[in-house]
Amino acid sequence: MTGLRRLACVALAAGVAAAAAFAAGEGEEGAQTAGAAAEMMMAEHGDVWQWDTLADYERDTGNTITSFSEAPMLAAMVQAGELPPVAERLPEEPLVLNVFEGIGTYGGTLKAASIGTEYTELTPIRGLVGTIQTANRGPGNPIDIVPYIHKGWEMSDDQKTVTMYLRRGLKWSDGHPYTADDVMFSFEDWLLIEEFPSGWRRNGWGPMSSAERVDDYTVRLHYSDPFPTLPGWYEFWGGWHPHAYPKHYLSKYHAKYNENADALAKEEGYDNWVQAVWQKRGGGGDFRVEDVNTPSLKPWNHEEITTTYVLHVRNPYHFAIDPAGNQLPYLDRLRVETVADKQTLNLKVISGELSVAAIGLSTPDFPLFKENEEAGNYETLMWPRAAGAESFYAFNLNHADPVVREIFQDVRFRQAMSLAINREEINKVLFFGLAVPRQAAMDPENSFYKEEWATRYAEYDPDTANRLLDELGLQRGPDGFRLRPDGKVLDIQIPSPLEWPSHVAISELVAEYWQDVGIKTDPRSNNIDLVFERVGANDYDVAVWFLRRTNQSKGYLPSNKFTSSDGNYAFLWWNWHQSGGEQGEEPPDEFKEFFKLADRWYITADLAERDRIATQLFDFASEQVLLIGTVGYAPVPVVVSHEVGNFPRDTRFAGDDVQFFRDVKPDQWFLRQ
Amino acid sequence: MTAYVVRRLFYMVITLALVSVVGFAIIALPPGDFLSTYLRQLGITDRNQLTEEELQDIRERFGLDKPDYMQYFVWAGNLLRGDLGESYAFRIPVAELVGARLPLTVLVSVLTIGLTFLLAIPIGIYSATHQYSFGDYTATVFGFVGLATPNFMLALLLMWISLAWFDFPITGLFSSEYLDQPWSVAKFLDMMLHLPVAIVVVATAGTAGLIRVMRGAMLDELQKQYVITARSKGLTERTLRFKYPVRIALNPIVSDVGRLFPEIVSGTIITAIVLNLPTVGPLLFRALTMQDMQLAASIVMVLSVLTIIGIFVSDLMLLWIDPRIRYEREKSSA
Repeated sequence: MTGLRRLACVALAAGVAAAAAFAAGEGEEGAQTAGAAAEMMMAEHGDVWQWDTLADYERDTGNTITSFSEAPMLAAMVQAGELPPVAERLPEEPLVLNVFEGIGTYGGTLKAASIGTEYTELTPIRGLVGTIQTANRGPGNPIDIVPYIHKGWEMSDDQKTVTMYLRRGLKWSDGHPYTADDVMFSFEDWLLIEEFPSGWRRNGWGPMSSAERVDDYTVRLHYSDPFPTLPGWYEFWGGWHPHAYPKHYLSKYHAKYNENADALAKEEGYDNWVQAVWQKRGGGGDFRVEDVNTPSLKPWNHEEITTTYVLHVRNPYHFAIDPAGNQLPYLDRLRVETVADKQTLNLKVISGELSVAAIGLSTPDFPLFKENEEAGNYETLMWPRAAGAESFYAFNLNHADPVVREIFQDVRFRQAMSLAINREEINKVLFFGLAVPRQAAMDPENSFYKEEWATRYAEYDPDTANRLLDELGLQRGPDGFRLRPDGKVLDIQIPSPLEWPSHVAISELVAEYWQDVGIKTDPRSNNIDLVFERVGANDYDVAVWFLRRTNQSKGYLPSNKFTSSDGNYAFLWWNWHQSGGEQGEEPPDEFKEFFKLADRWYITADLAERDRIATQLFDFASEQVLLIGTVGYAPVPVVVSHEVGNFPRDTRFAGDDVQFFRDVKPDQWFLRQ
Repeated sequence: MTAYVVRRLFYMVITLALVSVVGFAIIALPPGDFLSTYLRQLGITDRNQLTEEELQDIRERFGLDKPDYMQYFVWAGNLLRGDLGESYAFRIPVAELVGARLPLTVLVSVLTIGLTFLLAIPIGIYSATHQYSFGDYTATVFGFVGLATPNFMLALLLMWISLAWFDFPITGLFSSEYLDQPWSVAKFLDMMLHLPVAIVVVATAGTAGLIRVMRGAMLDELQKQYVITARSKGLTERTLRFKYPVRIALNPIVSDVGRLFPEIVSGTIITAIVLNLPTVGPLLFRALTMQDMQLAASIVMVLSVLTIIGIFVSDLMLLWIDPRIRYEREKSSA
């Protein structure tokens, strides 16, 4: 547990020191002050992240909250008779969020920007919903999963039943109560029906068999197999949670409740009623709502969507309060502007136009942000990306060329390729020395972690690498490049997706290291679709990607790169396993066992047994050098205006995964007057 | 004349049909489709998270399950009915998307083109009539520098200067505080502060090029015998220049009008992207990179129509300003 916390803290302290050095010109003193400030903050607010209900808060602190306050914008609406008073809008059991710095002030528009349209609709509120969220304050606390929309959940001992406890009196953004009926509607009338668009259910929600209504505020979900990874799933898919299908709004589009639903759907431009319901709720969840009138449970809802910006406005029925009884969120509006180019985004950052920026900023631009901090009135933070490997390299064990395949399948080759990489240098050259050089491995906090997974073949040892390659019989040709047994030059291409500059930069260095030990390597950056297409067609030598989701809560996900071979080290073998032997190629026995063991992992109810299996799995992956890592926890610049309050300073960056800013709780950000 | 116009219109229709096929094909060429981009936005980069069946569902929703040629016919059929289709990315009809950006695009473009002509034509004439003078050299140097500097580079420089020296960030047509506000006098004034940089940047390269064209054409004419004859007959220098050589020298500029038409709508794409202008150009660029087929194909189509109309108009204008062409035409059709 402490291993990574220490590493990340060191990295952060170094980041702060670097920051201070830029600003003050003297590193050490600045670092001490910044460190002390961070410590003070921790001491003052403690480790409490949130109280799941008001009653919990009152019991834990001895304080009582007797009256609630609301934003002036909403107070005016109450005055005008457009809204009921705040006490009636809040649930009887509101969520109490602890504040990072202090009680905020209401109002204002948070300004953010996004390159292109990709994230405008999503950032920064994408994934803000969900019954469950991660409490991710501080680098040492990335794996606590806490309730959000619902006040809690409980797994049965056999891990086959989850009981969800709803907040009494919780209301949709249109004021209609959110009850077990909505959850039942979401499951019985939607996720579990035949017409439901196929297997999102299987993927996102496990082997669910039925939903059971216990009372107005309690629902049980039953699974056919043990589903111990459910909290991890629910957290991961948080933004797409299926519990928020507003029955009162959607039932008129549903064939069970309206026999003319198909006609109504056609009238509104959909093909049929299923599509109407699906799209009104935004596909699998919240990410793409076509009908902005669909009630939601988000802190902010769409107010205006244009091609230059997207505006979100506060949900008057949001269910969270601060410890002083103020209804959250503090911010009235969020505006995400679309910019077309990275330089424009950078200029907006350094001119201080934006309140927060992170997605789209790149690490090499850190000095630029730092230099302009004072003029732009903002602070530049460096958060470690929650990824055990910024880039990993997976040799294609199912290579189409039998000669190459034989070479790649020899574990000595993979060992040599790993030993040839100078991870310290990558760290210094590309990441200001703030990342952690390591093998591709899970996070040290995980209950099933072994230090050797992160260090095995991770040292820089070109001599041993050369020796191993010599042993393999890969002799050097006249131009110094090693030859395959059939006399041709062994020629490797690394297809890096252009869309991810860090892969491209790391791949260039890795190619040099491999060339140094005689393997001819061509770091070729390509359009991401082309990369995926080539990998999908098994027309590639080595795959490169992030190793994300390496912490405990996400490590169990079936998308795990080690176990699913989704890291593409053996696509045909994995296909064979998944299709029950119908497709792909039959893997060697050890891999058959490995894949089977992984399947067992996901449905094993007993935690100790699960950890034992995990240890076996990752031992195998580590010994086989399936994924060759470079550096992990690479720093990502996060720029936050001094105007923004309650913005956590030390956490992890999960911004390019599903969560974006969710883990740092925009509910409680505020703008200083 | 009528026969000529009819014939031209017929060719225009054929050209447009061909352009639509080629344009659609090229946009469809790159690997992947809108769906792959779309899923990437959702963070679904792992093939495992969605089955083929699910992908198929989403493809059907977007009509991406049909082969490319069918997608073309659906799109082209709608186009004939005047429906430009719907953008996958924005889920808004293309006509609305383009329409929303059109007024500002036309404003920027018309001002730019106006500034280009206003600067280039007089400077070109001056350069030609005062060949090898100090003024001519100055115009030449500025012209070449303007021509050789990529517009986006100039845009970046001006944006930086504006921020660093005047503390005035130019990252779009509006200041941050006016972006989501309704039109007002203050917002208009704010735009007027931002507009000049955009126009100067976009106009620079065009102006530089046009100066050279104008100067060259003028020089050719000034050496001709009719000019000498006219001068020897005692025509004032001013009347002489503007009545004959200038009119003829305008010829290449007029035939360039066809190119200007689509530019009025699309603007200069790269510069607009760098300057973050809310114009149609960047929209087209995004549509192409995201493989937002209907949006991209429809914008390309609109631009093609404008190009073809522009060429037609410039031909008509040439007929009008240049009697020699008119004469040729009449002789051949007779």
